[in-house]
Amino acid sequence: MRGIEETSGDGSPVPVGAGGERGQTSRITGRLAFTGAYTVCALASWEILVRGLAIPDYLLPGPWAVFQVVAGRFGLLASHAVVTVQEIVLGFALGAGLGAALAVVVSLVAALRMVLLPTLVALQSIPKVALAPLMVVWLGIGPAPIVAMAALFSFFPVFINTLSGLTKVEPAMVELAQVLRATPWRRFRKIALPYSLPFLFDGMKIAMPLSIVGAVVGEFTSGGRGLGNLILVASSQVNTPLIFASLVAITVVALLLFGAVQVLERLVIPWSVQFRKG
Amino acid sequence: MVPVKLAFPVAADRVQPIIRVHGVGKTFGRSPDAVEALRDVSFDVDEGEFVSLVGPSGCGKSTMLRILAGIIDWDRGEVLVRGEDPRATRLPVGMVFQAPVLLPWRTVLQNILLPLEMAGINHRAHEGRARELVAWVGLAGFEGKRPYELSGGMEQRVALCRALVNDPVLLLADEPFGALDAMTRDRLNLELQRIWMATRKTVVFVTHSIQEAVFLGDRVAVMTGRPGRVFAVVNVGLSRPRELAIQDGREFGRYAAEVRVALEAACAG
Ligand SMILES: Nc1ncnc2c1ncn2[C@@H]1O[C@H](COP(=O)(O)OP(=O)(O)OP(=O)(O)O)[C@@H](O)[C@H]1O
Ligand SMILES: [Mg+2]
Repeated sequence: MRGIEETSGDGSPVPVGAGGERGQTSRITGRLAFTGAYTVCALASWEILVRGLAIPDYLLPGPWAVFQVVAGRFGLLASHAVVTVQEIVLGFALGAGLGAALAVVVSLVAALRMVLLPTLVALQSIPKVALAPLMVVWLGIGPAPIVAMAALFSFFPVFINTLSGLTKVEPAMVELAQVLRATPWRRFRKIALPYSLPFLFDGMKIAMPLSIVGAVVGEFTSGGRGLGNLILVASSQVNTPLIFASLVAITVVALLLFGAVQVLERLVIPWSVQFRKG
Repeated sequence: MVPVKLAFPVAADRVQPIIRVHGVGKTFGRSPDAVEALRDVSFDVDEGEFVSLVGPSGCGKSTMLRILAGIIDWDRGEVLVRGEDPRATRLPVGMVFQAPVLLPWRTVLQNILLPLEMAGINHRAHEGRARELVAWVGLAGFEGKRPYELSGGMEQRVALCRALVNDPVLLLADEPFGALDAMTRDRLNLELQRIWMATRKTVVFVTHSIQEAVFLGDRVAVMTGRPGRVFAVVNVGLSRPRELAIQDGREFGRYAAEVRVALEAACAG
């Protein structure tokens, strides 16, 4: 709860104690140290297990062997990663953009909601992985079906979350708009739309990892370049260390892209609840 | 028994009341679960008058205010604001809710300017007025802050500025300070009186507090339990500006007692 308000009119906010900030920094370093130690322990046990049981590389390579591949074939991995990232970004932008746009349309036209919503929910229940071959038939070999898969996977979470935000504006805000005799367009533009932005970003944070799944599955089926393909090729050669190195690359890509969404969120909606201090 | 003040006899030289409520009934829902919120509510409010509205919880005070604001329909009777149907009128009305209802993505100043933007008025031209209001309620320097950086009392002041920025013909307040601590509430009551004395807006102010109702109001309308109607109106003859200390005085105590007796009688049946 908030206390009694400041009486001062000089506009200075209550300063956050320097001690408090230092406390937060040390907490973060503490967490980082813990995560680091934990990771090192896990990797060490993996290495010891692999060596102790003399597991061959083609079954399960140790972290050191994987690291050597990552370092030694960095150029190869990076060139494939760039392709995959481009496909994901394009597909995600398409899927999320379409999802948000459709949510806006559906929220504005009540009649559409009754028709479109059940249709979309039905379509959503098709296992999307099974659509990859169809995309190849429709769009041919190359990046197009892969982009389509990434888009397909990211569409629904963004659509449903944004719609949820647009249609669940706080009743008090709706009343406020009524008192102000606002036109439907201004209500939408000045209240519903900004209100739904945190929901949109929540949807995007669910959609981003999914669109990576979509892109990799797409690469499995449609060939060409990209990390999914590299895995396919490595697997046909029983080059398990390269498979693992590709997995490492995909993980890095996933973390970077998710981080990008988070950075974007912080830039666009700095007022959102999760960024408030104290 | 306290005299019930009903509709004015309309004399030629008499100003038309800004609010005219006559025989108003309102029922929520359909027959098995229907809730009759208001039955035969009648009262008038004169231009520039400050009327407090008290009554037991659930008696339909908020419902009455929503009707006056043009947010909801009523079933029976007549409601006129400056002679117009409140649902259809283009007259600007200011409303302060129990919660501040500020938009978290807007700064203090942008929140205050919202009514102008919603009305399609060039709000840049009115920024000066908004800043004046901010200074007036003692928030100078906070124009660029976001709502979550303010205390509850400060938020409610912003809501008050927002309700006043488009120069409304009528200010409706639904327990605006109900959630605040007693000290903050006292301070805001003083500010509200000062603003009211300077602008002479017509105010309908719903409150649970007899003290607050008497301190602020020219008249205190007392409603019965559900279905609510106006049971009595107490004229408060205290001179203005009223100081906080006035609440310890005998005269104030007499008006407060009058309201309390009316409330008890209203609840009894
Ligand atoms: N939208 C609604 N739908 C159904 N019933 C409602 C609605 N709004 C109010 N009511 C009912 O109407 C009655 C009056 O409600 P109202 O909110 O006007 O009371 P109130 O006098 O403001 O109460 P309080 O002092 O507790 O705020 C209540 O019994 C409530 O349950
Ligand atoms: Mg109420």
